Amino acid sequence: MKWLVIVACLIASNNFAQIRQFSGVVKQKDSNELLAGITIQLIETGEYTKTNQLGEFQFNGVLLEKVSIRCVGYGFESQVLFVDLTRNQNLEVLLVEKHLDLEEVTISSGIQMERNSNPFHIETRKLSELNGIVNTNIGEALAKIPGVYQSSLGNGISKPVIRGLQGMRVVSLINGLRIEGQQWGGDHGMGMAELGIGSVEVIKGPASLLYGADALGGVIYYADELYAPTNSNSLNVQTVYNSNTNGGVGRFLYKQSGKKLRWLLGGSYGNNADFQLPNKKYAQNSRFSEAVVKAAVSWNWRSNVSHLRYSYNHVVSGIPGHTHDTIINPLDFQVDIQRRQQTIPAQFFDNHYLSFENKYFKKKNEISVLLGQTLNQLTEYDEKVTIPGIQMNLWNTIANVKWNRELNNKMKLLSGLQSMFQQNRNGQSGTEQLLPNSFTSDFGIFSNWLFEMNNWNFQAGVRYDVRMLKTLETFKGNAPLTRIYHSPNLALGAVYSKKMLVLRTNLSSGFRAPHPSELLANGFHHGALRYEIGDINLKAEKALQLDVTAEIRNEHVSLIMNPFSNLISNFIYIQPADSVINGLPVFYYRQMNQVLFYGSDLGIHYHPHFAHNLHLETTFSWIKTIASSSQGISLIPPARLLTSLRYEFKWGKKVQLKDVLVQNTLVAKQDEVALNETPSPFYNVLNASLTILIDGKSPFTMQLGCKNLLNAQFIDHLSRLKNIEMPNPGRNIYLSLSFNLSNNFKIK
Amino acid sequence: MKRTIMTSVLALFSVVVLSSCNKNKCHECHYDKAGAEIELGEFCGQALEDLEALGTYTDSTGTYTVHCHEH
Repeated sequence: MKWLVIVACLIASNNFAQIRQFSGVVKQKDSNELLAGITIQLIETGEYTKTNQLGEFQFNGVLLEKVSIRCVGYGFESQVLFVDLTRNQNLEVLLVEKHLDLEEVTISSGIQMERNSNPFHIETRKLSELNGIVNTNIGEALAKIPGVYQSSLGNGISKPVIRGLQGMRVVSLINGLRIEGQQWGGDHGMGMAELGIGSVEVIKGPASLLYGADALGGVIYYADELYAPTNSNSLNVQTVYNSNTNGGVGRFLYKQSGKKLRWLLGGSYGNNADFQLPNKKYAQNSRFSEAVVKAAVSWNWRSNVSHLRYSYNHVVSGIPGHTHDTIINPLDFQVDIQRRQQTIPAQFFDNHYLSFENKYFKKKNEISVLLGQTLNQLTEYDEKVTIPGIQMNLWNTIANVKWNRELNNKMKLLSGLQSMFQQNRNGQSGTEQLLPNSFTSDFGIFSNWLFEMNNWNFQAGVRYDVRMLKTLETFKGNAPLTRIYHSPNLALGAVYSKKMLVLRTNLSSGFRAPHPSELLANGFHHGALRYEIGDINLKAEKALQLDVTAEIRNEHVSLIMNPFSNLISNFIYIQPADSVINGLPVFYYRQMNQVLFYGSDLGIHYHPHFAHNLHLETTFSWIKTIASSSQGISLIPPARLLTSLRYEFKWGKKVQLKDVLVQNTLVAKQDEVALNETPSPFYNVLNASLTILIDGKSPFTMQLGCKNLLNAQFIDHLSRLKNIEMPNPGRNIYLSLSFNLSNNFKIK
Repeated sequence: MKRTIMTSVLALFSVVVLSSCNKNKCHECHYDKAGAEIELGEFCGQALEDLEALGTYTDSTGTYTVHCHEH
């Protein structure tokens, strides 16, 4: 109620924005040629328009005094301009033909800022960029980002791994709303689909300053696609067919924008049968289906912009590796017939994400309020088709306030309050309980200073968090408990940025309170194929990371080196015991004093002068650990070399061959393993695709590609199916068709 | 024309999603006896729920755990 009053006051209060007109023209820098179809976006409000045939654009209406403008056009380097509309209402934007486009704006840092001015290295990728080779799920797309991997359970369940850390140690957000989906379980899906997602940002390492407890490994921040340009509507329809699973996905996204009101509505449905292995057999019960609905509406007030967003996804995913035999033969899970009909064991996920965000602008202040509600319903059927084994409902309520104040031209201050209230309730029908009914509350307060001096940008922030965990019942012999964890955190960073050189370094800390599953587990976890036993005396983990980035670039080459070290104290891990209960191995949650994660991400993007249509991009990521215990740390990703070679064509007029992409992933062997963990050999996967564009009033894009072209047989070190020796999918030929309809309204 | 396409896409999506909600209420059930699967036939709806709630099948030789899924 209190929040509603605050929001109402913000909306009703006096404003600072005025009715203004603002126009401009976009030209090519060298030739002065007028550029049509360039997207001009007001970053603060998300409104955008496109230049007409004369390169002109115009915004009318209520506009802020100072605006940030992003100019983006295919084949040109994007530009971000900061404009004072009281002084300049007619802009001339000069765009340079694209060689390497590295100027990007980050939003996950709490303040809209250029990537190169940010003391913290943030990986920003458009989803379309990650989909150069079509992905089966969003986790597979994320695994193309340096330092990011996926831990998968077949095709249906994929979870992100950042610098060797996963599960509760990776926090995911969509448009600022924290996604809570029982992510402590390696077999529990992420609850995120590609529909309507425009870009993704990854913060690697502890990020407690802005996102509170848990993010020791990092943060994945999904941002929605932009709405349609002002006074227009658009419809995008896409379908993808995968030969390997004899399935695919169909999506649509409709967008409409007026002068003040913008909205979108989308849906998708995907269905995949058991995936095919390189030996032509099929992975039994690896089938999955997913239905998604998404809606959003946004409106501009005089000095506010508001967003109301809702999305729902429903996933049914089979769990391979189920048997009643006491002696397991992995070959029993590889079958001759591909099936689609759902059987058990299977997981059913339902995720609801509802959020309301209001940004209020006044002079040099921006106040943002985010209220959100999520519900994750997880039902797992293990032994019976009508009686669930596990049934859990996780409610999560969020209320965040951020205040961004420009103190002067050189200094900004970002402060905020964050709160989260979480309730886990077991359903009545479940025969087993992995977690007790429990309540968790989080409160955090932070302040972050940003200072600019010549080519330097500095950032310093402090934060204090308190988490309270309360179980609401006696659980497996443990009386109801209340635990309070609290921790101060800090982040310090500096970046030196010139045209050809960016040097940045930062120090950040984080903390993670133990999850009820780690404290109190005592039961079968069929999805993970183990019997888990918790430890009620576990302490909170604390992390401290030093991260250094050096970027050297010219017109044709960009080099990046990003070494890091992340020291985690009181590290919680799961240790296999030498015993079995009802056929499943027993695992204990344990804690070791310290673990040092260290490694580096290296990248090169080469765009030769003699072949302007050629792009060669290579990234190399490696990570090592030093543990205070001889147990070692399990599930550490092996070194990975990812190389993409893309050639852009300009062939054809009506039917254009757009590009050809060849992508190779070389993964080194992993022989530094934990106790009772087996090593994994190296493997190499080759993917290729070609894209054809049929131009016209409704552009139609066709992509034909092949994943695992050489049908390599391998088991990824992080695959949850490694314990049943199930290889990753074999060759997959896919076809993706996509068409766009768009229409500009007549302005009365 | 565009309205027709939009309506068609929405209708198609609704049909696909709604049809996917048609849960399979019938399952073949069996029990394991002396290393062999003994088929009990197809059970649906309440009969299926009752059989799984009971969890066992008893014949002249003994009581056995019932399974209503492939493995």
